[in-house]
Amino acid sequence: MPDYGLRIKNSGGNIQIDSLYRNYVLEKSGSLDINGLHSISIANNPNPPIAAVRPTGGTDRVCGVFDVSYSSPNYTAVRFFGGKGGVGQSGSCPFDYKIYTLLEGKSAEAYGLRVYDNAEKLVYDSGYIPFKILEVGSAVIGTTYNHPSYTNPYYIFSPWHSGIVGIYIPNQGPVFSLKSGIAKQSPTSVQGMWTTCAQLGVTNMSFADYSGTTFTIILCE
Amino acid sequence: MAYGLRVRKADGTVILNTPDMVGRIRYSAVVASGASGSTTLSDIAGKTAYAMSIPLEGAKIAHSVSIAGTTFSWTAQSNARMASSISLVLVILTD
Repeated sequence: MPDYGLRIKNSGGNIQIDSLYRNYVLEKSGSLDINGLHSISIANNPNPPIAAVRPTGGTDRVCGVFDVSYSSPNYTAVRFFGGKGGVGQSGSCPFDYKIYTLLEGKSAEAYGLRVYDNAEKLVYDSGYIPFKILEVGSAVIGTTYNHPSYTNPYYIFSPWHSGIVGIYIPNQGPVFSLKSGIAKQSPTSVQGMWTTCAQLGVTNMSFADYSGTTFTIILCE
Repeated sequence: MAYGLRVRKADGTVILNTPDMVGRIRYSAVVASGASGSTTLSDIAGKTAYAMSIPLEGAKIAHSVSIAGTTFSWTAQSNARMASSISLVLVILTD
């Protein structure tokens, strides 16, 4: 139970606002078209960001979150990646992104609703765009995930898997570092896919190691 | 609309509506590479909660995360060729 204040539920009975748990809000959004990595800075903030992507290119164009930059006690940037799906492939990926966080300061709005917790931290501010979740599912890299109820949403993917692949070509072949991302298949479907982040060296063995192939996918607005 | 809150921007655009499910934070931590652990979050009992893991070192492997009852766990991931990352682990509530 909240110690005091307000509790708002949605029409399904889920709590949208109370005085206990702080609401994520949109800090930054934009579009990128990259083959590799691109860092988007965020306001130095001790609260963890969440980043979502919406691929807009072809069915083999893959994007995702590479990592989050952290310099204690603040999160300072989100690094996104984009590329072409497959081992040893290269090509750019266009996508939109959104970064949500918990903002410490109130909005500039002079009217509306603002809720604080008992530590005087901002819980909700109607001057900010809230983080709205549409659907949560489980997916497998290489298999299309369909979401017929929602068109062109943003996606959060957890965990972002990694892989390393060595290809034996006499006498030595390449070793590639892979990252899992998502590729748009249609306005109502997406697929987890590997993309090549780097060539690490050469090998005289064939191998493929992956951190996993299943992931949680969160569709958001 | 039976009940609830609808929030509009000054231009009339609805930014929060009565059916919307929103994400709120319950827990976050930066966990060390190679370290596994768990914590009990008694207040998430009966709520809808999602675990997330984001690497802070993208060239390495992020922790795997899970929720069982009120226990949130994170497990370091690595193998012979890939090292464990420092990770940001989160629990998000939608209830």
